[in-house]
Amino acid sequence: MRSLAVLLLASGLLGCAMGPEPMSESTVVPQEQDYGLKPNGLVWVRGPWAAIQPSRDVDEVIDQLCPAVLALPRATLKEYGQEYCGAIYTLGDGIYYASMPSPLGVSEGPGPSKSKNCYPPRYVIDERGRTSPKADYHNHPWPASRLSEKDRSPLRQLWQYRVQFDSLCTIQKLVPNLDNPRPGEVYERRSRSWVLTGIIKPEDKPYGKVTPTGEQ
Amino acid sequence: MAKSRPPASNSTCILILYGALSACSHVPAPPAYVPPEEAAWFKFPYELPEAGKKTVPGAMATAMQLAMDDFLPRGWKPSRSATPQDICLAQRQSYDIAASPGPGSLIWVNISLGDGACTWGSGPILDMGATYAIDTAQWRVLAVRSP
Repeated sequence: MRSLAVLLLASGLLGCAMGPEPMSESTVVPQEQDYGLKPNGLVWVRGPWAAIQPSRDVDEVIDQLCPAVLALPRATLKEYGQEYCGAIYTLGDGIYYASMPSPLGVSEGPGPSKSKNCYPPRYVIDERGRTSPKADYHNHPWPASRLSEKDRSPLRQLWQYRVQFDSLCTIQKLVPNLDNPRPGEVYERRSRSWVLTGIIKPEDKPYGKVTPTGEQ
Repeated sequence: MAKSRPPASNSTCILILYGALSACSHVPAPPAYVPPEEAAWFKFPYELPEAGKKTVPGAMATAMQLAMDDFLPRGWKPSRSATPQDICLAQRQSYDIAASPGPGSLIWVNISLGDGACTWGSGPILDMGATYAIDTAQWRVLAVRSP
């Protein structure tokens, strides 16, 4: 009886020690799909995206994303537009890859949001190995449409940073710095450089409130 | 010999007209009241508590309501195959509203999914909501876009 109790306790502890399912893994997903939902309801995407050349410089990957996403169906069609979410990841080899974009979102919700929202992927499936997502990316199907307040909300951050672009390829990057006391940072891509346009003071991190730097 | 149909009386015409007009009108149903026996325990405070109190100017509150009436009309229901998240998204209290005065008689209203709201299933969703430009001179939607 005692050995049974020890066994149960050990298996329970082992279960706890293993923790939740890893965020990226090469579990079996339909080969013919580039994105989908896992049984737990979370979004997976496949990588790498052939349209994006991998690079040791993550900014080179980011610079290719906007034109590639805007070439997708309805990506610039404003109220009839489509939002896509994807991820930037590595395989631990020092090279950055982009995943395929996913249009999965709420399509039957209220208001004019239909198809203009998306779920950032939780898993990147790359048959070559275990993936480590570093950032998510998404488009807004409008011109002059920057990161929204809720895009900056700490409860909506999954990875180290977030990349967003509008239909004019104005690219923004949010580095929320949620795991350290540094202010959050909002950058805009100009002439292949990142310009710090705003900070999120530590006391404003819960709300994602941006204080402009004057570099607008 | 077939009987001819008698002419409709004035009162019948009025009744039909009333019925037709009331079918076309869009007066929302008034909110439900708690029955008196259930509300018997309730007493008003002398003043509203200061903690958490927010005063919203009337024009702004009206603009917010107008935007929400468009975004999520009262009585709007998700489809029969709706998921728990769809049902959550169909509830007004799932959304936060921010408003700012714009130029002239314009008020900007932003409706966005509240932090932590409707996170079942596929987790946090980006850009669920809309921004409205409300013309407060004639109480019309000037423009709307999402996100």
